[in-house]
Amino acid sequence: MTAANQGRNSREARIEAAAQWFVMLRTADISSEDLERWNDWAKIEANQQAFDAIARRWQHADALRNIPLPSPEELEADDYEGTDPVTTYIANKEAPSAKRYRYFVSASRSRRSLWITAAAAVALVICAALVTGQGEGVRGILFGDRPSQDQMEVFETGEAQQRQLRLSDGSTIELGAKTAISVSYYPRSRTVVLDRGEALFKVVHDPRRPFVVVAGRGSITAVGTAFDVKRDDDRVIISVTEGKVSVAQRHSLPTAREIEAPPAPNQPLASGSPISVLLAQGQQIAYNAGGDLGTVERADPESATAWRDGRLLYHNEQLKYVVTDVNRYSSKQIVFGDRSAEQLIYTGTVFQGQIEDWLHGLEHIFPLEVVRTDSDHVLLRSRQAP
Amino acid sequence: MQRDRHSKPAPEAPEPRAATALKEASYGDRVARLFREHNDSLMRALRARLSSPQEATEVAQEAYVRLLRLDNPGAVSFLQAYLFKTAINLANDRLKHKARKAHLDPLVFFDSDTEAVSPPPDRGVCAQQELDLIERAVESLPAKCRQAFLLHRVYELSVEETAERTRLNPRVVRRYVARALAHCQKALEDRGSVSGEGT
Repeated sequence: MTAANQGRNSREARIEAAAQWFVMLRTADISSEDLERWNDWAKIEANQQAFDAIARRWQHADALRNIPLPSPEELEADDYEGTDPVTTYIANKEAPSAKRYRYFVSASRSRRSLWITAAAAVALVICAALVTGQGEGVRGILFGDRPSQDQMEVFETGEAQQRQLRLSDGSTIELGAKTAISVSYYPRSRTVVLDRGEALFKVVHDPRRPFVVVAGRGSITAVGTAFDVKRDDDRVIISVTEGKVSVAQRHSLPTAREIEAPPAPNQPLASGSPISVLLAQGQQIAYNAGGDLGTVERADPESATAWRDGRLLYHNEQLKYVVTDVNRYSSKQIVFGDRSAEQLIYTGTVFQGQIEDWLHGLEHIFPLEVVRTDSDHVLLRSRQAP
Repeated sequence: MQRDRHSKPAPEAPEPRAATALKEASYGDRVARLFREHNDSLMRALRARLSSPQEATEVAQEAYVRLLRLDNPGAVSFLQAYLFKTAINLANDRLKHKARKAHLDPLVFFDSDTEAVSPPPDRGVCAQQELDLIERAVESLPAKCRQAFLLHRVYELSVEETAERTRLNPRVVRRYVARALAHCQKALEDRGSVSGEGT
């Protein structure tokens, strides 16, 4: 349910972005930089769909000829400035005190109400900083005068794409291929949700604004450091390349209060009974889908971040995880024919753009055969006994 | 030479200049790649401006032709930006021309010439139930946002005219219009009534 709500959240952010692009593209003079941003944004299929839907709404508005214009009194009484989405504004306006109460008691009940109530809570605070992603930042272009209270921004990369984001505080996030994150900057916290894929975070130190990455059933809190987080289907791996981070198990998604002001590193998180581990430079830890932390291991910082140069380095890694990574960097998707093939242990390097060669090599090291099923898929299965 | 002509990707290939035939072929390839990679986003950008998809296609084609006819393509450092700029200028010219026509002849105020020939295919498909939802979504907009949206979209005032009439900054008008559009879309998705909608 939480996942569904999270999906809904990013879908709504996408609709807002699509509408902003639509209006932006109608303005007479649009800069080359904006066009470049538009092209980046429009590469993503979900964005295309949202944009086309908005274009249809524009057409359908033809049928609205009998809606009267608002009266002067109505206009006088209206204080909506367009900085939030309309739904957020209406929800805040209508929010009875009971709703606010719920925010303090069990705010994480639904992600949607969480965001709305969280927005209500920060509405009183002057928000100084907002994310300005290099490739996106529609809000920065169109609504540049004042940051919105709807502060979540979604960034995605496609197949074999990489991307660097510079945030307003100077921190950077490098996204690997097929990666999706949502970034929320609040006056007293910085929260990034890693929905899928892999990212390298370089965080600018700010003790008053902890930087928290939420990935599945765990969260990583950093104060001035660099670390890599990779999310597979059933596990999350954190490798620290600089400084220290705290990794905590959690039983639920962060509450509104935690997003607004996450606890300091090493403090247990409010919800559930999390176990936390302090991870230093050169160390690595993984947790599974249930949030159960593994043991701390040595990590070669170079292997953890080699993906940035188009190399994937492995040391004693299950083949299924290797393939999950490789699939993010290739248009051809590798699928396994059987479980025992998935569990082979691999050590070596995969070069982006040379995946065919790598597959060929696999047939030599392992009792595997590569079957090309169609132009988009490759089947990897255990070789049949003769 | 002849083969060269056929390999041109554009809808209307220009006359190849004999001296630079080889160079031009690779330039043609570059434009072809541009077309493959960016045509969808170009078409979307144009459709935001022009009322019919047919017009958008015409403008895009014209822009590609102009790109291929460039005397000195090497001077254009960023082909993609140039293509978009050209297309958008062409679209602006069309809109200006139409606006002039509208001023001259009040009968064509609603752009009857283009829409009668090719009504946007979606409009017929949009069910009455969906229109009702959109209508309700617009009615529920905050007053100033609703006013800006109606003046700009339904009364067909330009953003600048809307701004003047409402004594708002044009930037604020655009912001209201975008919020209103997103609100309509969300209203529709919340009812799950978009399932039958094709893309």
